[in-house]
Amino acid sequence: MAEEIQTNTAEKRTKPVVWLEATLGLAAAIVLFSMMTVTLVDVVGRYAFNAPLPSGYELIQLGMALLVFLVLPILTARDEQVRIDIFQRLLPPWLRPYFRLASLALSLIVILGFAWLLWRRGASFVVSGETTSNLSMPLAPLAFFIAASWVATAIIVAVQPLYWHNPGDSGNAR
Amino acid sequence: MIAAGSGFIALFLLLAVGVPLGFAMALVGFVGFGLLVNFEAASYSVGQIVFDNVMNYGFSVLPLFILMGNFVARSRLAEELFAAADAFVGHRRGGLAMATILACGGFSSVCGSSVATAATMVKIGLPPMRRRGYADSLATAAIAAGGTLGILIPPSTVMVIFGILTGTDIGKLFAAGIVPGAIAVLCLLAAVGVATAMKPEIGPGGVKQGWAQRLQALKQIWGILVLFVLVMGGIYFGIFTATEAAGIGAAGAFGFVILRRLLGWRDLRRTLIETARTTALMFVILFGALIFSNFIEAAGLPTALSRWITNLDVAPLIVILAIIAIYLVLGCALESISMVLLTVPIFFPIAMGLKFDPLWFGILVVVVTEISMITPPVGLNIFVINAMAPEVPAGVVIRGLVPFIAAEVVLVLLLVFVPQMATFLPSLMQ
Repeated sequence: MAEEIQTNTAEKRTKPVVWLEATLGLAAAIVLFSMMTVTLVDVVGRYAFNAPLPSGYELIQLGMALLVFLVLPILTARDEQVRIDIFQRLLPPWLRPYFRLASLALSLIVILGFAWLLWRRGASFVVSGETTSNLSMPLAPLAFFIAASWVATAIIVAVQPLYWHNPGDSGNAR
Repeated sequence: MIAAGSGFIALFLLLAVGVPLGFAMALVGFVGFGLLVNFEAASYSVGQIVFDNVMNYGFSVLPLFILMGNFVARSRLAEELFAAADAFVGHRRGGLAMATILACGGFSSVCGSSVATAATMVKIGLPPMRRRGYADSLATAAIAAGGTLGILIPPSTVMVIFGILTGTDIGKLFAAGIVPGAIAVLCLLAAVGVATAMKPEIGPGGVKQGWAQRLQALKQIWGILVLFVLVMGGIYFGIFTATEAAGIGAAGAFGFVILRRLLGWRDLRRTLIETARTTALMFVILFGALIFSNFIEAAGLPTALSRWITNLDVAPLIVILAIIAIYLVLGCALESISMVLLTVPIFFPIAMGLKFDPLWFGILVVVVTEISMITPPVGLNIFVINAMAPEVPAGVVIRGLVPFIAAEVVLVLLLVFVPQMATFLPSLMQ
């Protein structure tokens, strides 16, 4: 599912989801609202006062990275990643939990891989001392933050089976 | 070719096991690239793809346009659009279905997503159609089909992704979508006309409203007009970039819901988090698709395919028709964003090699993607209807969709034979 479907039905949110939304979610909300405000101030400043916001461009870039990786763990906790589930529906019910476990294990490998590779990227930024061009913000902390987000995601995936109340259910079967 | 083929087989196996799409593409892409080139290069490129794309200024247009659509969805502007359309055409046979399509078209001009458009219109269009005794098949299909306008009428998330993938100007792509979008509305209206002419009982007419009421209803839609003119006008006349337009559109829509006192703190937070989640969802697929295309490129598939097609020595038109046919088949099984991400890196160079216009090709991709959203078994808009009106069986929706799918195919053919539909407006921009 590439996009959120707003349904009328009450959301069923597990405890971790509620907690994550109150912390990381709130932070992401603030980042997004700031991105909107920065763009507005930048354009209005440019035309009305002939004074664009200095480094608005870089703030937006930074905002994007924060936005995506603040909510990645929430997305995963809500099990919202896009799956093509036509195959699973064809499976006999007793086989589904095994497939689900296999998909979880494979996902975990990918997520930890992402974490490791982004960590390495951060380490290379430390060595090169690379910064953003305008504000001279070092890039290394950002790469480490992204790696940390993947680690958090990995932890969430690893504990997911604890929240499977219905073992016959094949995940977000849409 | 063997490498690419095994890659696709591995990808389908992972998807069959139930691995999320983005992760499956990333895994196959990484391993494939590692085996073909080496794992040091593969590791480096994954880090680079994730970091550089999430820091890509151009992509910030996605969350901001999604945010704008989410604010608009809360603003009651869609209700007013429907009321205005209803005042003009609602009394006709199938009139409420036509009003739904018109309202979808209007809503799409301030919302870049088909799913959001369909989800918003289910709540608004379905109850009045039910009250008047419309068949569920027509009522739900009109919403699912009308919803697809979300990505064709600018702004459009699919155009943004196409633009960034191919280096095509997003503002010009938006301009290119306007005329085909309007024609798409006409095609869908015609589909309602044909369906109700064949079976009048599925969409009974109603009482005609007077001109006083019509003008009254029309006055209410100024909000949408202001937003559309602000955003698209700003882009079209080069006052600001697509990204800036997205920020301004979101701020404008935010202003609307605040002025109308329709947004409390909780709603605001929910809307922002929802938007962030949708964005991150797209990014996970984006990372996966880019890593996978890296591998496909290293395996030489696009080049081999291009060479093969050039050597075939068939008319370029035949190639385009073949690409469309591939899209229609793929569209049944793939979700829209991933279909665009996976296919554009392969087909775009072919289309450019045959000297087609990039903007035209972009709009063509968007229209076939629209069709993919209403073709079973994986049609996103069918799922939306199913999630929000679960009492209507998917089979009923799909049966109702047949005339609309036919209308969209007509639109594709129109676009193929009259490419000026897409290229005329952007040609006037500086």
